[in-house]
Amino acid sequence: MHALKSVDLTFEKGVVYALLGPNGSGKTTLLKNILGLVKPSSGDVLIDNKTVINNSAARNKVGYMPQYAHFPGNVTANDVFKMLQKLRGESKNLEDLIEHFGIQDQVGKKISALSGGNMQKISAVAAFMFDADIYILDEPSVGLDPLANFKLKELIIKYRDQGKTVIFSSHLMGEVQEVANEIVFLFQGELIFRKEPKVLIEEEKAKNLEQAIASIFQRMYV
Amino acid sequence: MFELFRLYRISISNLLRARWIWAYLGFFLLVSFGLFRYSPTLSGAMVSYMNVVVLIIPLIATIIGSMYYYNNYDFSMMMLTQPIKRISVFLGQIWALITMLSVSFLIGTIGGAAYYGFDETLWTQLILLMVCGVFLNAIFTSIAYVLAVKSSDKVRGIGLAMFIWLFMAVVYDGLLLAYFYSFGQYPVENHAIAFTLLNPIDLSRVVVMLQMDVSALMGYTGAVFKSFFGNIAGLSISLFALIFWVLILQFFLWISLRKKDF
Amino acid sequence: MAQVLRISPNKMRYVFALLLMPFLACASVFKVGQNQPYKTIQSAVEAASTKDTILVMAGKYNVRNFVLRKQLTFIGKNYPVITGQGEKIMEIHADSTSFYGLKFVDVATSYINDNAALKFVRTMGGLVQDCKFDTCFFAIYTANSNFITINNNNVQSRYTDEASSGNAIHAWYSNDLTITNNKVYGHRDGIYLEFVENSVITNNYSYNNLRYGLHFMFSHNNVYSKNIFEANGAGCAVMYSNNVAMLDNIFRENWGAASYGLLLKDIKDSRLEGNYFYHNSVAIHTDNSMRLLIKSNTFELNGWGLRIMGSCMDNNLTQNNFIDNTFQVATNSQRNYNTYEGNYWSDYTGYDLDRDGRGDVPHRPVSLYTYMVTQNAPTVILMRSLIIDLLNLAEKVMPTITPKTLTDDAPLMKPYHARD
Repeated sequence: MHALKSVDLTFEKGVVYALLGPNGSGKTTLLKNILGLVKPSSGDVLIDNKTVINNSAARNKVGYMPQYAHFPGNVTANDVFKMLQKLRGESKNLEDLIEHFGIQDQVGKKISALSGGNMQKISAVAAFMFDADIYILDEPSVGLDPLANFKLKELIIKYRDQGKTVIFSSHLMGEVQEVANEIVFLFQGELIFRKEPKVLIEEEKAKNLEQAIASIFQRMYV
Repeated sequence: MFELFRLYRISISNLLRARWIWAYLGFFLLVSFGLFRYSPTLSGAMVSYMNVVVLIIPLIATIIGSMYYYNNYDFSMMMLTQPIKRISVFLGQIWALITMLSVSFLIGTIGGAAYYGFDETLWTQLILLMVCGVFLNAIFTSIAYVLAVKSSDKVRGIGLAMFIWLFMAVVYDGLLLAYFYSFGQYPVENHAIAFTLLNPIDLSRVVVMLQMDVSALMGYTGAVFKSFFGNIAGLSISLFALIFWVLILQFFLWISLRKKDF
Repeated sequence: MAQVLRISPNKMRYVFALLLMPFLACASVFKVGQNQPYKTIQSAVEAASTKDTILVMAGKYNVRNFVLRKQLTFIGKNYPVITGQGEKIMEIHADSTSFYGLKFVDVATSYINDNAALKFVRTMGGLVQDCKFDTCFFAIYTANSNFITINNNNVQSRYTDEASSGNAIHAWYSNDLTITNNKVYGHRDGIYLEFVENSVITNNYSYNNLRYGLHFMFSHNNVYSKNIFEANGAGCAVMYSNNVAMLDNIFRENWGAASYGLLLKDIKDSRLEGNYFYHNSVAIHTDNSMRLLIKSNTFELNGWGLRIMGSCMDNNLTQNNFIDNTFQVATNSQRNYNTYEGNYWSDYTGYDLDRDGRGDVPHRPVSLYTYMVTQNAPTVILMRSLIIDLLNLAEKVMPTITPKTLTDDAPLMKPYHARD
């Protein structure tokens, strides 16, 4: 019944965390916990020592990019950005973000008319457009073309350097190896380990992260 | 509160773009115009229109309420990841939906019946009917939402809501009928009043019908009902019953949302 | 006399004029008026002898508690107003008196006496024609009087309380009456007959009376035709009478919790033909009626079309149209001793394959819900509920509860006689 079992984690500022684990290991649940979308049956989730449970204000400190973008279909991306700004205040970097992803010609179109990749870009903009402390990205690279992916990585690193916390889940190990400072590994709802990619590769005596994780997976399923 | 109003406004502008809301308005305009224009008697038109209102409004509100919840799931999810209270997100949607359905219904009704012109009896009855219609909209939209929030499966959510409609519109009266036959030898009129107060569809039907001349056909039972529902006190109690329904459903919604994992 | 009565009411006037001619020829005329030989009606009557004529000029005259014992003819010019000043006006004890063109007003309500504008007491013959009555407790009253004609009068009042109001035309133990072309409204009963026989009531318009438009009891062998009874508090009630013919009358808008288009109680061997019942709360309620022929009547948009109690027997319904009544036919009994054949039912859903104009599937006039409501009154509160339609449909497909023998085996596919 429980997607997560006694997970005790602290995320620091200025660090990029990669959430790894096989399907159904509880990655998305953990991310949703931080957002207050899923409530833990026991325990608490704190941001700056304030609970996120039934506390919508806590989400002022969070920017979120979901695995599948959720936007109303019959409006344009611009409408969405306007709507979000009405709720959270002016965005300081909206224009820059749109330019960063090169979607100036897409934001005027209806959401339902956008391609999956462009929708993900809009979703990324929506996540980064407000000044938050934590940025949560659930499988952000799904459907993104290499250039957009590169742009996203740039963004993640930029925000980390500004002292933000970035937590993302991914299945692309190359990408994780590149940007993550720390790997949080979940399996069947339990926290197995949290390590730096470098350390992990060394421990597994692997060539790269992908190999390291693969051998861990193999061990687990035996 | 302010946050709720913002989301309400967003949903309203979203709904104004929907084509079906215009179809809904057109439906009531057409039906009310057709009935008040072509019925041989005014009371006949009124009875038929009442039938449409007390059956169709709950049905449509139920269906549209469920559909709207599921179709707007993406939008809701987006909103839920923002610093906004859950209850605001969904109350904003529900009340926008209720507003739009009610306004369409009211415009349709008034527009169609305006053909008949001013007639005090007609408009007294119509105003009562419109009040009931708005409440039925509110109640059944809320029911649909509560059930939708409780069931992530779309088919299940719509099915449950439809079942509630069927229960209120048909099964409830069947049980009432069985009750009358089981206790026919006792004076059941007062119980019947209580049972009527509990079911918003029955309540609307009875309150409106008692204002119409068909109430003359109801004999002693009609007289007992009229002595209760025919005065300000009875109408106030009915109004409270309807308001109670609306409030309790908002409360249920709040409870279900508190517990829900998205 | 009976033959005279068959003559149409309009021609009646001339017939009477002709009948009066020889008397007029030899009778004197006494003029009453401000500038006339006689200033009061009473003095003129005093001076006149039998069969004389009193010609009353326009003006206002007081006549209170006056007893007429001479056979006279009263003719009003431009409707002279005769006021009872809060008493009764005239009691007629003489045979064959006539009243034309007078206006009677202000007869007081009394809880002891039946105060009337014109009261015929134990007379033979008499005529009231083209007169107006306004605010009279009773307007025209006949007691133990026969062969009275009441034609083309306008009787109105503005009573609001049944107990303190009287009847417009009231007949008691009177036979061979002719009541035609009168307009009566605002009284307790429009036309009231008790122990009246061999009479004709035709072409009257009785409306907005507090109680009944037409009310008769113990009155046999009478014909009621072409009358209109409209918006009377309790409609029309006819009771304890035999051999009544009610033809081509219109009963409409008699609407209310205790209102009937026509209430029949203990009526036997009678005919109801060609009547039109429109928008009454109950078109016909009949109790203990026997051997009635109910034929080619139209029941349209009434609450209850025909409410026929289990005590009714050997009645025959044919060629009637039942159109969109909330409850077409209702009965409180599972048994049926009446016949229904060849009527038109607007809710008939059968078909006519052999195209003889009659449905091939028998029709059951009593719907399940109608039956339920008669059996179990509180169920009426479910009127217009969806469950009722479903139950009616189920019963139609598989009849189990409604009276088995109450069927119309040859229902008409089209209304028998379309009426405007």
